[in-house]
Amino acid sequence: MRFNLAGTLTIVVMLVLWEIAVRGGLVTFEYLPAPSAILVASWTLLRSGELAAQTLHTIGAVILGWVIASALGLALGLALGYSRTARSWVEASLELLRPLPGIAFLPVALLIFNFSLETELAVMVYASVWPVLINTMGGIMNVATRLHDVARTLRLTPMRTVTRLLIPAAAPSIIVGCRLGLGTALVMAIIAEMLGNPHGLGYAVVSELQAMQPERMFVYVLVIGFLALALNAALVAASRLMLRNRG
Amino acid sequence: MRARRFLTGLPRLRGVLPLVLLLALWQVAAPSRSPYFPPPSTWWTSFESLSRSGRLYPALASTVLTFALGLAIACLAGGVLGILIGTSRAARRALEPLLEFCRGLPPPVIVPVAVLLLGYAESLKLLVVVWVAMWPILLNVAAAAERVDPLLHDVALSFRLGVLQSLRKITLPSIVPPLMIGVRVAVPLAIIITLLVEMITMLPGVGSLIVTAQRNFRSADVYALLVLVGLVGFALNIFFVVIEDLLLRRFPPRMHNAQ
Amino acid sequence: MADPEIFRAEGVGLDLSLQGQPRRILEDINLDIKRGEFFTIVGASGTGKTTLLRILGGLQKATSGRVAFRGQEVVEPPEGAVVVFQDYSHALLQWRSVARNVALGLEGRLDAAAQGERVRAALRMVGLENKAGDYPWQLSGGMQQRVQIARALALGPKAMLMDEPFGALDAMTKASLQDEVLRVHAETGTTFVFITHDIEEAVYLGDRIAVLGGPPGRIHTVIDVTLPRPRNQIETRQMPEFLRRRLAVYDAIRAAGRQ
Repeated sequence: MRFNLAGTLTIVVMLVLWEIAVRGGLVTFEYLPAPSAILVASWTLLRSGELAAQTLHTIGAVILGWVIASALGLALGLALGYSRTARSWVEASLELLRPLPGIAFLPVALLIFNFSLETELAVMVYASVWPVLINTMGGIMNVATRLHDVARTLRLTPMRTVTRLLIPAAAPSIIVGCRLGLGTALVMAIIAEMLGNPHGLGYAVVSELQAMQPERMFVYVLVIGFLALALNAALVAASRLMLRNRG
Repeated sequence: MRARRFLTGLPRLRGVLPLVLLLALWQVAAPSRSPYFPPPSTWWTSFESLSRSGRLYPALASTVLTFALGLAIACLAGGVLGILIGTSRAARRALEPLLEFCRGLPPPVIVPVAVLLLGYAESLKLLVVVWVAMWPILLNVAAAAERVDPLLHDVALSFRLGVLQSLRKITLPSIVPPLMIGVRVAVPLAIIITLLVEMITMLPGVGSLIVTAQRNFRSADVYALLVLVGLVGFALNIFFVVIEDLLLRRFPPRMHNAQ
Repeated sequence: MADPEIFRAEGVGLDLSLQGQPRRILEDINLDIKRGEFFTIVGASGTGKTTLLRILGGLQKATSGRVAFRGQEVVEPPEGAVVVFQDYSHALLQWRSVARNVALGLEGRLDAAAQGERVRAALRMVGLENKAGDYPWQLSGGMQQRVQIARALALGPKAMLMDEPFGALDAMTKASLQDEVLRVHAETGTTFVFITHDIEEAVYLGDRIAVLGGPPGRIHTVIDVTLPRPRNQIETRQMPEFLRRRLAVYDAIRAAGRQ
């Protein structure tokens, strides 16, 4: 990756201006903290272990929710992509449910599970299943037509057709679906932590807001931003690794 | 692969059976006073009482208005900024890390930041929706503006089109498809964020209605509002599909999907 | 006692319903393809050649008539017959090495050692033994098609059904692959059913040529080719007999088109 001098400079300049604006009283936002104050607060939070604890909770929840959602989405997407009959019996229901945003389920989950990890997981899994399911189903449908003839003329068993032909051929789409699912899982985890499960980075942001601690709040905001970047980068690297054999 | 509007052409009608069966089973199996899973008939009763109480429609109006206005402003801002950034290589290089960070920042995080800076004002709702909906539009437009076929520049030159004219006749029309793709992504995002803001700040809207119902353990109300949100989402989806169809009708099919 | 006929089609026809309209694709096809012969099928586009091949190969069921392979009725892809498709890049698994592609039909049926033996033999037969570790996308079109042929050969089939396999290749690659296929035919005694729209190719390769007319596809004539084997790109194509056969096929196609 070429080093982006202009980009880095812009960020540095922005931070400097920000610092000056706050310290010099030029800005009317009463609660905007200066970058230096954010830095100090981040050190405090790191040392006390609080930052680590909240971050680990969110990461753990996201990964758990994502894995469950991916497994479900993959299984359903495979079945629906492979079998036209199954699709015809289910698709209309899916189309009706799809526009329902995951956040609308949060109050329902709260009613049933109260303020707990289950609430967070429920909301995450519901929302993240969709991208995995849709991309898997689409990917399989895309390749099924042409690879099906190959499978039949070579007289492969259905099991082999699915595992050796369809899934590897649809792998690029499936991986895209999983990446989108991870992004969705993170978003829903934060939403759930803000409103439903008093743990994790989302909860920390809101509680620091209510405690009138803007510097600490910004620390958590930035950590969330970097976590999102890191998770995405990790997934991009992993998908490149998995697809390295292809042209 | 972007989500397509109907997964595989118009789905067979018998596909609604699973949903219908689920609701029917629920209706029969759940005790009518169940705190967690009230049967669907109670949802209808709740809906009726909510609308009679006069609280439902103003809340719905507030939510939909915020969503629509926010999306409209986001289209404008995202479109203009997208063109500016896309056409200027210097701007792109300088802003790239910043844009990447903002693109990756999970939208819910914006809400507390906005509350901190702006307080619990009505304008907060609108601004947050605009910010969140703007990014997919801006990034898509910028990417497309960057990739406008250099041949078209030659065409503009050979016809001696001025800056304003070439903007109007060449650049602007070429960003309509990517703008619509960005809108496609922004719509569900805007719905979620509108609801989220209402839920966190308890500013008027469907979101705060649902939270109130949940805090008072009025589960039938919660489910009724859930169905309402689903129906509104469904209607909005269809609406935008129609709009997208109309606007993209004259563009070649390959431009209808993300690059 | 081995059947002299490896494929027998009696009154085979195919009716489809396309966009609500009934369409007859094939009508009253009667064929006897003898063991070990090289049988080519020519016709203009739309005469149903590919459909006929798919029916012989068990990939599609005829709506009337009967197809038998080695005396048994064909209802699904029969053991001992393999189809080689025109679109090699999509028929091969791009994420598998050449060797593993060739092994595809053997997996689960033979142990690893036996698989390896067959794969090596098949690759040797098409001259790709030193490309075993390469990936299809690293190879030229001609080589990829040879990999597909090797994959079919590895199964030791009694019949190879080839659907315009060289249609997407340039003239020189086509010529070298034609000779390769003739060599395999001579060495293994496998029956070949070969579809092409190239008249010269049909005469150069075949023992007999079925000319399809239509639509709907009907067998117009079956022409015997009595050219000596082994055939040679330069000498055979210059023989007066070759030119006479070529003219006969050309006339037949014209006549078939006029019906």
